[in-house]
Amino acid sequence: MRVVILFGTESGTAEFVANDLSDAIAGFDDTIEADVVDMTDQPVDDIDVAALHLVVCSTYGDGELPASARPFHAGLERECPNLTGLRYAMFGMGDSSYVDTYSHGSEIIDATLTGLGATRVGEYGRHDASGRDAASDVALTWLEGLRATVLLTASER
Amino acid sequence: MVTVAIIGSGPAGCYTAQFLRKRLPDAAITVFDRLPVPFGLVRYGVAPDHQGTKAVTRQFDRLFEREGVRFAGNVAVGTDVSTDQIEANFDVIVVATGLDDDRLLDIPGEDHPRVIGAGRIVRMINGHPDSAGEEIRLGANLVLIGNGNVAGDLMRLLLKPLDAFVDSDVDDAVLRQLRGAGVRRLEVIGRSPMAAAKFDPVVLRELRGLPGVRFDVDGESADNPSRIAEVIRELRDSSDPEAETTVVLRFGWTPQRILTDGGSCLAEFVASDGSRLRVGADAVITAIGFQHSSKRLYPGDDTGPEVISALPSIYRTGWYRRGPHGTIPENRVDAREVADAIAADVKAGKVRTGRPGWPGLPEHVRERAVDFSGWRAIDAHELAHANAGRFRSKVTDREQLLRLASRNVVAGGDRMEVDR
Repeated sequence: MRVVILFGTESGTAEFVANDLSDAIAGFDDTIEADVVDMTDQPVDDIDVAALHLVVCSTYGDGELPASARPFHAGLERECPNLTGLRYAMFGMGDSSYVDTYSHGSEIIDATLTGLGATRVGEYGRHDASGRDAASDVALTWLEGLRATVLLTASER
Repeated sequence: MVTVAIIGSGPAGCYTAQFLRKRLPDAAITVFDRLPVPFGLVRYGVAPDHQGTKAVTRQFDRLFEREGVRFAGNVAVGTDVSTDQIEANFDVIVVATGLDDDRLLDIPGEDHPRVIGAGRIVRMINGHPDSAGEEIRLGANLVLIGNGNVAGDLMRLLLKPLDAFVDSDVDDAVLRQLRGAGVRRLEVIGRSPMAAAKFDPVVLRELRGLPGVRFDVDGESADNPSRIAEVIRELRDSSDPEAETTVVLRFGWTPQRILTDGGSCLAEFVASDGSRLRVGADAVITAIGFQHSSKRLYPGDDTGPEVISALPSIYRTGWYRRGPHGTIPENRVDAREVADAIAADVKAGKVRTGRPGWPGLPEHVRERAVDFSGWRAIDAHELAHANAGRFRSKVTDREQLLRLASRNVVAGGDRMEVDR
């Protein structure tokens, strides 16, 4: 089974994190290939519901979606694809100095995916850009908690 | 192999390097900066209490530390090395020097010393080496001309209590000096009507809850449905009517002239219906954007396509290309387009290759350069010597920056070899 790392980014940090997650998964087991996909390039009628999706999404402006997530989100709202069976894990990125809207971008995507029948697995990961830890370090710790899920998914035929 | 010189290590230059690294994996890329430290406006323009925004540099760290892009700080192209020398040694040149100067109002009186560009203040607050030792006392009554995010940042930086700057890297001494006994009245005056004000809503929302500050609004139409108008009304309605400091947000006033008498100013404005406004102040701060400095490297069209010259292959990116519009992510979009254009030109054979790149530069140029490990030594010092409650305390003295950087070279032995 595939693992897909789907990212939505504005400043590039979510893409950076997505690439680091992909490298780390290759380190779990070098036979697993985790595809890194920009939400902008993901057709909403062609989501592989059998694949485990790791979703990495930042927040922009006043708690809004980042630029690369907007067409994807609009497509999901418009087409309402049935995502029953899709399992995804969520890693949200934000800046806690914006108290009211912290990490809200990922929550928008999360609510939409859940609303279309998908199931979130694992811990909801979060990175705070105002904290001292690098986004990738926090994401890799989060990924450790999903190691078994990733390995089990990848071993399914 | 193609050799690339990117001039300027701010977000435009670093994002361009990042995309070029992906598009042209074999390219030998050098990013020059006139300062001994990298990251341009991220370090010296983004407000010191926006560390989350500054964290974008973690992406760029990797370029220099793992992806073979060379940082050459303390090398001012045009001064320390000529553009001819750069053009003789690099196949592709990308100008990413941004816009240095505060845009002028172009009205009588603005050359008075009490009329101060916002960029100058922001550089001081951010510890820019060119501002080291500069002293400005703003006064209790201020006029701030401009309705964009720089004006929004300045409102916050001038009015937020010092103890609310926890984990910032603000230069406390500078902030205290600028504020003096404190700002009592701040008139923030913009030319556009309220609905067209360029503030991002999030920047105004950060002003909500500032203790001791009352917001008034002039030029509002009560039924204005725009998002920004809604945020401005919230700001007014949520502020403390008894507060000691008053901020007046005025819209639709075009500056006409500034009269000055010793230490005080009288700013005059006119509205579209011809009515006039006169506001007295201890200083007038202009925050109406940025423009090219007289020292720009390639004078010519102010904005336009990415190509400045086909042979030699000179491109431009970021604010230098587009003008002073857009935030860091917009420069990323821009950088991707420019990198795509460069990669296409290289692949189409339009770029003459074979120039040696960094090793071809004169020895005295290469020797003066601060490399990325030198910056890391500065960075470590600034973090280790942060004042209480601060994330970092910046070194502003250029000589000290160079000493810190060179100490690392001696201690670390061989320099990191980064050219591919």
